[in-house]
Amino acid sequence: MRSGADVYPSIGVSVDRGLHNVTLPDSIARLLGQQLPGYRIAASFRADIGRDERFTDQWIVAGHTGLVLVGDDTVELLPWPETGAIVCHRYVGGGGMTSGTGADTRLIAHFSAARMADAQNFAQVVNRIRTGEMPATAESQPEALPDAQAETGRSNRDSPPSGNILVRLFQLIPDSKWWRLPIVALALVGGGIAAVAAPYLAGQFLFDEVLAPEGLHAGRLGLAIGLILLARLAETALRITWGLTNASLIHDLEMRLKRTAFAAIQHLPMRFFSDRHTGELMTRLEQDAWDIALLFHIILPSAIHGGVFLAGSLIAMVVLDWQLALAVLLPFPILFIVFRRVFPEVDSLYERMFRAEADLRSVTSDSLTGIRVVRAFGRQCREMARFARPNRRAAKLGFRADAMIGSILPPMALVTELVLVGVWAAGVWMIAREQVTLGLLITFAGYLGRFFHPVGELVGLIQDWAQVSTAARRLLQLIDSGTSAYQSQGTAPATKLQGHINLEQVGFAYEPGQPVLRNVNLTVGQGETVGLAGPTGAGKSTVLNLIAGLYTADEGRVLLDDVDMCDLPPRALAGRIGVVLQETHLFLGSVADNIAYACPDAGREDIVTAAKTANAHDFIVELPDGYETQLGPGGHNLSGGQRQRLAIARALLLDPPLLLMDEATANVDSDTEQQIQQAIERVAHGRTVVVIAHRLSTLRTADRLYFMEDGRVVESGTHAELMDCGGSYRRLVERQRAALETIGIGE
Amino acid sequence: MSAHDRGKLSQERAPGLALPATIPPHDFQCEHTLGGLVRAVLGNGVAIEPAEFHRTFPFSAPDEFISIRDAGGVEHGLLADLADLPTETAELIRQELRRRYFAPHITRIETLTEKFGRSHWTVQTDAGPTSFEVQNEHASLRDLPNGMLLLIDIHGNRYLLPPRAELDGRIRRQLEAMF
Repeated sequence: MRSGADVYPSIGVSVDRGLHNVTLPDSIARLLGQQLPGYRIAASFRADIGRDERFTDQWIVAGHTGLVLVGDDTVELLPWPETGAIVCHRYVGGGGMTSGTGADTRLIAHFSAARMADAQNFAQVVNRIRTGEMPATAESQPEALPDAQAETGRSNRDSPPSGNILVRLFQLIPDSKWWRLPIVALALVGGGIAAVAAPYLAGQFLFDEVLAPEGLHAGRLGLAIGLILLARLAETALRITWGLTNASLIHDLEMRLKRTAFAAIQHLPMRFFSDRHTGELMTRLEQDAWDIALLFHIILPSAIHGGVFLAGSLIAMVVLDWQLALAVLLPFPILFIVFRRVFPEVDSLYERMFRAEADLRSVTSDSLTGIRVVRAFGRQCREMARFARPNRRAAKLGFRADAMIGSILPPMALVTELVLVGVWAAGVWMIAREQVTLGLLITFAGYLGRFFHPVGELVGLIQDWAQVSTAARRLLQLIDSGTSAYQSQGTAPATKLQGHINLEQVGFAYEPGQPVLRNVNLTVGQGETVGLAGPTGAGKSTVLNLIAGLYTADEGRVLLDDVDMCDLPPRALAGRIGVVLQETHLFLGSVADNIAYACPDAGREDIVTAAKTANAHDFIVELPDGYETQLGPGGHNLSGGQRQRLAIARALLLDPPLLLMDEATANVDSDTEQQIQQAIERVAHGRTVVVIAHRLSTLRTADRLYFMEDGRVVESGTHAELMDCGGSYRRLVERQRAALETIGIGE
Repeated sequence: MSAHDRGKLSQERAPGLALPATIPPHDFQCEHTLGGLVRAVLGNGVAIEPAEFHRTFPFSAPDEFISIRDAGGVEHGLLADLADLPTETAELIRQELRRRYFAPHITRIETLTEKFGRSHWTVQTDAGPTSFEVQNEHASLRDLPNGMLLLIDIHGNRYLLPPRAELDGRIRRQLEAMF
């Protein structure tokens, strides 16, 4: 990626190709060379929307003397000192770049959303060059651009899986089962050959060689019957062989595919989950794996078997009598074309019917989960109407699909019959003229009778292959992104975690162009309790996410015991950080399993201790099965406050040196709130705690508070200090107190 | 890290963490009341009448960590293990627990039929013959840690079935298909 500067000696412009894939077209470089001799290019950006609001490439180049806006055949130089700060703006479905502030603001580029990340990188570099922080030379480029790893999470989604899909799928077959593949292939080919032999034996061989007095084996009926039986038996035996071998292979493959994909999902960067619907991942795992299994189940076997049979019988027919063969085979191309027309039609009808059924399902679930609201507002009629629409649609589409199949299949059968009748007619005519024998005719009829099925199958295969390759591509891509994310992490030696945290100039955005954190500096000493306060959307939870290692900072560094989080090996933090989130997720399993989620070996006494400390023990014992009450679907449902207390117990049992907490505010009555509060105070004892606090009591006991607003830390200090300085924090506290007094609680 | 080490560690690091308030066996007495319930007296002279006994781990440790609560639902302590108590006291508490956690053992299944997502059972239990209906949901049949199966009928009554391996093959297949 980072090569040295390519120099264009003839025109005196040097281009550094190292910086974010700068691929400045030669024509532009030449233009720059002509218009601005001696200009050194450090960075460039391609905006893809022109001034006339049409898609055209507009280049902006940053160099040692200033910023250059490249026109069709003109260049405009904005020299450095005069040019104001470069800012990227996020529009809807695109973005813009401006320079300067206030009345001097000038629009310098307009680009589509796809260019947003590049635009930001460019603006960042340009601003550094502008302020002289970074010389505009090729050698002194900034460190690896912070967005690089953010990009892996995003861009992998669109990059195709590496390698041939079929090869990749076959690689999933365990080494110990490879020997089954040739067996399957041989059995299929053998079955095809046996299927070709059978009609010949029952036709020409039986009638012309055995039954005809002048035949080669005249009168040896036993031999003929034996051979016919043998061919059929061999075909059946071979079918059973591949069926059994294939079955074991497929289920193994599907299991491995799902396991690999699930493991990959576990390692995917968190961004993947915010971008993407979890439901989609579930579909991939279930549906796509099934589709791929279909390939091995049906597509490949019938392709091989059908192919061998078709080819074999074609050869046999041509060898036996090429004229009759030609006459007989004429209708098949037509049949093939009809199949090709009708199959997609029927398929699309079914597809649309499945979609309508899915709509129906989502309406049903939406309506039933909201049944209280429906009843309370008396909107049952509306819900029934909402249900009726997709229901009717699904029925209509289903009817059309079935009607089409119903009206297509009989004519198809008729065509088959007609072809057979034609063969018999032609054959009888030819027998009368002694051109062919009765045995040959029977052989031909035997082939033709079994011909239609493989032809239809092969057409279906073409259809299915499209579906399977899409599924395989998606699943393999998922596996690739998970694997690369896992491997890309650092390898700093894991040491015992002290719980000392430093955030240095941290910036972060979930979506490029929408920064959630900017220049956040934050220090948490070992054993300290630090509170994060501020309005919703200030970025408090994001800070916790970064410290927990769920996301990686785009800018700046997150240091844990003075080690950059990016340098930590994968899963270095496992079991060292306890997390209590606002929304507690409880897994399927018992209450005890959920408390012991992070340390499954914990004894009963420890679990009870943790639950007691978290003020959860009492409600647990009141449950019918105590600590062994099943949670999750079909199990016992807990209230929000109970869930959070379980989460605290979970974190407590792990006994981590560092605890991250997001206080629950909603869904909790004041009694429960007090219990949670008490639990938090007990937990905070003797470890490093970062807590997003909403209650004054938590804030007051904290060693230090960071007050955040709009992604920045605006105030920091102890409760008393912040109250004295009279800033935003004080206003918040006073408002909260006033609110409490109004309702007559008062502090 | 063993459970013991962990306990010690959490004590060292966080004095705020209390060990579960287990009651030493010698500090505990209980007796029948005239009303057929139990009166418990703790070492500090506190008398609980009537006392309720809850299992905290009803399946994996039915005789350990028994919570002693008063009628108001306040916990007065945990009994670490019934085996540590004098036999009579332990038997008294076991009797209380048997009443609270009534779950007869099914000894023979006379008939088992399924209709409209519910199964109808006619069985012999160690508490006598009975019949009941079970909603065929996953939650109605639980595999217990000791291998036994816990069956919960539509009213919430509980029955114990022998481990799957000891069940008649036909019944086992029926159970697999139903739950």
